[in-house]
Amino acid sequence: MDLEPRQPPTTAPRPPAHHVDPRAKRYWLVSGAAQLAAVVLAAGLPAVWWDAGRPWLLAVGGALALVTLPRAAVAPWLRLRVHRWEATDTAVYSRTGWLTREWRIAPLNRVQTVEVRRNALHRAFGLAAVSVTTGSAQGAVVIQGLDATVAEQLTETLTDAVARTQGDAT
Amino acid sequence: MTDADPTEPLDRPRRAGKNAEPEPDHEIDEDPDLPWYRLDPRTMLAALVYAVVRLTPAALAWLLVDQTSGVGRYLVLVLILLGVMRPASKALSYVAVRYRLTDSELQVRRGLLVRKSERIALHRIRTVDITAPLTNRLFRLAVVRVGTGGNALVGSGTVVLDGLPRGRARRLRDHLVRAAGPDVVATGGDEAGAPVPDDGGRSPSDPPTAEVQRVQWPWIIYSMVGAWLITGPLSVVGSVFSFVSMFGQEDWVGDTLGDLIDRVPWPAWAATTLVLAVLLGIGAGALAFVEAWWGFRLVREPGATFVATRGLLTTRSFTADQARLRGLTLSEPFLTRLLGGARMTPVMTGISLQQQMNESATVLPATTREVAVRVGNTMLGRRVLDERARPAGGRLVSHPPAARRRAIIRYAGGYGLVGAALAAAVLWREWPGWLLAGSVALLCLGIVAGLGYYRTLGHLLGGEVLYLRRGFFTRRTDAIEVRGINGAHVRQGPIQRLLGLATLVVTTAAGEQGYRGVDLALHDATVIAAEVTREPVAVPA
Repeated sequence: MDLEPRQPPTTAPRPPAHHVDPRAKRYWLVSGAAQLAAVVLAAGLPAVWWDAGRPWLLAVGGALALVTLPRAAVAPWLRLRVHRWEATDTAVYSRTGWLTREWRIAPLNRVQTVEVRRNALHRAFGLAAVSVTTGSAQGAVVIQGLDATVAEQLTETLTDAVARTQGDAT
Repeated sequence: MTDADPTEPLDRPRRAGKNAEPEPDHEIDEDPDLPWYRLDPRTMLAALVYAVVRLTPAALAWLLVDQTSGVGRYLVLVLILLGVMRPASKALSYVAVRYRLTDSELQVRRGLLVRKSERIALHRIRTVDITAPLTNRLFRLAVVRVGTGGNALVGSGTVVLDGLPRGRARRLRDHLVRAAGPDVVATGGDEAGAPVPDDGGRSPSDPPTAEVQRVQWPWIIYSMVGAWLITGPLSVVGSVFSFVSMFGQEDWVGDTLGDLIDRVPWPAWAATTLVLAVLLGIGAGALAFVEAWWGFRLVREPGATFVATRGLLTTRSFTADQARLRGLTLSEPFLTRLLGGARMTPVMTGISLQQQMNESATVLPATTREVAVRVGNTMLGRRVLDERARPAGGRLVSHPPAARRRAIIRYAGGYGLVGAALAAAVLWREWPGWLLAGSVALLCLGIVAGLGYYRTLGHLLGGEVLYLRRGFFTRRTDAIEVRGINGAHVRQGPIQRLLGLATLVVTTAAGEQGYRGVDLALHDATVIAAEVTREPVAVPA
């Protein structure tokens, strides 16, 4: 056989240095609840008026609601514990995911764009998201739930750092 | 003009106004002296022929469908519209499209009502390919497709000039490739990998460049046993049936078939269908291969530029620069693998999704494994894989036994579910009892597939190349150069967390943008992610 089995220790990537802002929990809670409400309304309202479609509308709506429920009921707390981020001198590094955990690394010499995103809900809580993209369509590192001023600072630091590093980014 | 069509009257008034204006607006014109070129006027003739071809379904519908019914009339109308739209825009492009070359840019301007101009810096050009669909070939025209880095996922990275005379297309290609490459020595233009061979399918003379590979007809076998074996016949039967049902004749077909089925004993019927379906698939696969790969040649031009030319009805020419390659993918579907075949796809930057989808960016058909590996190594300019499609610089590291458990559970679970449904149908819906054998067979197949999947799992980081292998029904080996990797993700689902496994994704600007290694030990995934990104995220245990 050309394959040799072995049993290494299971060490995860080290946790990034910073937690996200505690207000992010409320942000996730509200957006999760909004999604749940949207699902319930989208399935529930037609079900009230449309007799023939009621059974399957309720079935599909119920299933969707069941899937969405944890996003509002569990995810905000778990996310607050899991989500972390860090900007080193050479890379942006994040850990996300309450169900599927994911560590993402984007070396700064490959970064193409750095942007702050603030939607209406972000603004309501004084939060922002920072999105860092590389030349790959799958490479984006998105850090959710940052304090707005922290996000601005981070963006500036990263933009400067990217300008300093020389790379063709492909 | 000749091709009057429904979209014409809508455009005319405003177009007249536009035409009354003096020549191109100068506000963005930085080099007013440089002339703009139009496409060839024969584009309009080609568009006319194209329209005739595209109107065939409408004509058939006109003949076959009952015109007294409202649905029938609308159907014909819709088919006419569909048939005419693209030819019309193609014909209009003679008026609408202008292009020119400056020292540093290819500028294309298009649009009648809304003017859109695209400027492509020559040094950003990654690939140039020339195709000539049949309607274009009749008029000795070609389509030039220029790929830049751009955002490879949307079409925005590609600029298309449809309707250049062959000679000019070829010269444009040579010029662009020359201007794009950092140190490319120009080859004498025309015969160097002549993109549009004469009707014999052969270029007039042998070029002064090295031939890497030319078509070998035995390869046709891989095309014949490819996915066509299953999907081909089904899709043919399905589309014939849906075509017929469009005209409300499916009852007649159903009845006729039903009568036939009643008269012939069932096993004979099943056997005949199977044989016919397989023959149909093999035939279709063979035809597809002949059309796509007739006269195929892959040549290496000075400066490590590779040009692939091929095609019987539609001729295609694709140019790729070695500097744009970041690795290769070798995929071996089950039957192809049994016959010793493989398909090599270079991992290239600057290929748009559109180019990947329409296969114009394909440089090699499914071939024998040796040829696939040899061509891949030649194109990358280094020995990446050995003859048996294993990493040239070491052995693949197998994944932990927990990965075997997960693979078996996943495959056996999936097939087992279908098997269980079958068994349930036997028990409660009184389906024939021998179907139980089917559900057992499915479960066994799932276990075999799971074991097979685990056996193929492997990875290796060596010689600045990351190798990732997986897949049972289609085994794929990705070899990605570390210099092309621009990020890494380590992902752990809930079950993977229990088993200490992780999925590693390395991202790249090339090819599929992300390449996956499944079910590595978490530790290995961490270490590799740290190494390819040169970022110390792995901590000693």
